[in-house]
Amino acid sequence: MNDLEQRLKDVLETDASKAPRVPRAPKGLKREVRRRQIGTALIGTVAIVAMLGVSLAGLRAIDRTEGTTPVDDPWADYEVFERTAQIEGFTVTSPSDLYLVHQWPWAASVDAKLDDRREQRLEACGDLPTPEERRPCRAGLSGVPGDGLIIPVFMLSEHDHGLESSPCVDPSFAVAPDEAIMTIAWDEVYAATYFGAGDRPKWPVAFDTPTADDRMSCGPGTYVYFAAGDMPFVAHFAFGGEVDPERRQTVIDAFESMVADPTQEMFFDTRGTDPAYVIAGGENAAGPWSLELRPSAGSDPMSNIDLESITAEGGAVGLGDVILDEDRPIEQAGGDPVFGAVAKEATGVELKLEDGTPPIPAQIVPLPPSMPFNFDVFFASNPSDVPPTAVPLGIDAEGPSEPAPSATGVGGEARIVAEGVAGDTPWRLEFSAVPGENTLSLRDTRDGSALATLGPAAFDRLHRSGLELWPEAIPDGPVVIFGATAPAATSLAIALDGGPLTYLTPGDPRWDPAPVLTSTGLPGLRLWWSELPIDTGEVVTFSEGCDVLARKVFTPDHRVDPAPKAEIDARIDCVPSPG
Amino acid sequence: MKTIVGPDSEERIQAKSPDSAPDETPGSLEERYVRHAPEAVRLAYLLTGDATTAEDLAHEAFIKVAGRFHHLRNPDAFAAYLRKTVVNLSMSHHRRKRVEREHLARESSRPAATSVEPPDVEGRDELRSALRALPDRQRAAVVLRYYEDLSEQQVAHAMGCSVTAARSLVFRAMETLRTQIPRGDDE
Repeated sequence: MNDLEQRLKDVLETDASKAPRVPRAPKGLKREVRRRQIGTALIGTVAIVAMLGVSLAGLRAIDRTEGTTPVDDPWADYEVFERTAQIEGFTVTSPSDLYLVHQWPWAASVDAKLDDRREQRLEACGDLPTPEERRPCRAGLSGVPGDGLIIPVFMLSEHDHGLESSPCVDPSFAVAPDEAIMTIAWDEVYAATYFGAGDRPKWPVAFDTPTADDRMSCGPGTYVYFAAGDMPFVAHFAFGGEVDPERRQTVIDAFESMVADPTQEMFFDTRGTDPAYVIAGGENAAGPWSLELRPSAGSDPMSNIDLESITAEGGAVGLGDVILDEDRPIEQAGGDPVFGAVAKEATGVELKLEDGTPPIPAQIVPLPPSMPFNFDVFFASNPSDVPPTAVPLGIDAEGPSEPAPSATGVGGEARIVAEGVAGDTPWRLEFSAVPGENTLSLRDTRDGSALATLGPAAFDRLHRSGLELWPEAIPDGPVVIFGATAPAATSLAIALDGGPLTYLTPGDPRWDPAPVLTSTGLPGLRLWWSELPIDTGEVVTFSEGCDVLARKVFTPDHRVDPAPKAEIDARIDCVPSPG
Repeated sequence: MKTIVGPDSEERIQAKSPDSAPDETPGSLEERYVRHAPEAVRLAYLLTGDATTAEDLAHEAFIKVAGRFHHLRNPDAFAAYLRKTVVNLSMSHHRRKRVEREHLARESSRPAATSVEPPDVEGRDELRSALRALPDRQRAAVVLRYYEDLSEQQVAHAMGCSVTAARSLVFRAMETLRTQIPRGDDE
């Protein structure tokens, strides 16, 4: 702790000592708390009349959807595989042509936004003098689905409803006639009423478990109530009138074969609020992983998708804003799993291993209709420690395209170790450059897990843009930014976003460790890395003559934006090369 | 299967009081208040700088958390939610005060009264002033990090943001303080 931090701590402790003392609970505390608990619970419990209305409205909605034309099946030309993925402690196995949407962070945030309004309306009802007046007032508050009483964790559906749509949140949600949908949701109102899971049957439970609970908080359908991890959950099933019986059974099987092991950690998720399609899952040396797909949030015209491999602990390795062309029809990321994007023309993808072992076939997944981009995504497990290169098949007679001449490697293999301690967290990473393959892999030496791979496509991009970044490459680790630069770059700077800040030039003591442009043995590639105390900024590389060669912005959530931010742009000056 | 609906649901739920819940967090509501409320008041005081407001916010936060998250059995989780709620309520309080100040500024040309405090030693007043001048979220992040001694992850949870965003808030706050309180740092 430096001097300023110590002085700050002293001031805060001194000030805190001036805070008023609270020796005992004030009178009426229990009554107030109980009123809040009852209020929260009652929103759901007085909703029967409204439920009937919702049920009728829902049935009408089903009627309305009859006769609509289903979208073309995106999986018509693709191999459907069995997908087992973990979402917030639930492990669900289902065919890959059912859309599996992780909705918990988003739904919980919708719930939080609703909370204040709901509380105010409840309190207004509570001010009425008699129970006879209070009950209809509270009953009138019910707007379920959508009042935040049932919080979806994930949804499994036949059709692509987009990411922010759920029968438990959107009162106008329409089920297609040929559709089977399952939603698993946290039953908040029950939790608030019974201080946990109450006497709900513990998981596993069968689809046809009888229930007397008729709240129907997700509209018409079949409800199964159960407890898992001492928390109450609801499984809601909606089946269209023309659903294929086999498909219906598939969804029921997905439910009954589910492993439910949620923990209260789900309430502490800090990974943001964006819902995602879960397109694959599996297990590697570090535990379960899932591959999440969501739209890229950038406003750049080249923005398209974000694809992230998420571990159970919340770590992530990602790939975003894919740019494919004829010369470079594939991009890859990750070590295990390896995943990425590939041109639609490809008939397959293989992982080519540098040790000469047989290639590993990858699974290709079409993007959902709500993401109309002209490429597919792929993934494959790579349990070996050998860095793989993903190659597209069927694009031309020669098989995978050759690397661009500028990226052709010569020379021996280079291994570069980067290490440091950020706070109390030691980190140690190893770069392995393989000149013959034009690959560079980044591996966490603490557990051997592979974090990222720079393949031929990225090499080519590097030679075009002159700069490649991996911000926050270490799952659950410090903010360490890694970069690769073109050979003409002799120095670099980072302009930090926000506040009265300036650049970090190589001589600045806040570089920790100081960035060193390190040769990798690959022609035209130098590496650097540094711990940074901030998640947004712009990296600029300079030539020996102080010309700006390349610049890229890195933003939170592992994004790299090729378009410099205006506010940073204004502060960029020439930074001389270090002596 | 348990049902929680019915014409007498209000009465039945009332009959099942929090204190009679078999799986409740150990200790009565009053005991929990005594255990957690002082820390909540101190945090609210550091975030608002006003004793009365701090008491009100801490009390409101306790009612909210005890009422809504009573089912959480882990006492640590209760404290974390209480801390998060105090931070949220403080932010709302600051927003309301800002609107009030803007309204008053339009209504009156009188300059706002400034607090008068006894002289301090070693530039603490300077630091205190700089701390109060920080944007609300940066101040909250610094208080949570350096007063509550929370990890970056815990700060992120309390503030409802990502770990990197929390780290960024602390860093920006410290950079601002460093530029305004240059003496004695970075030695």
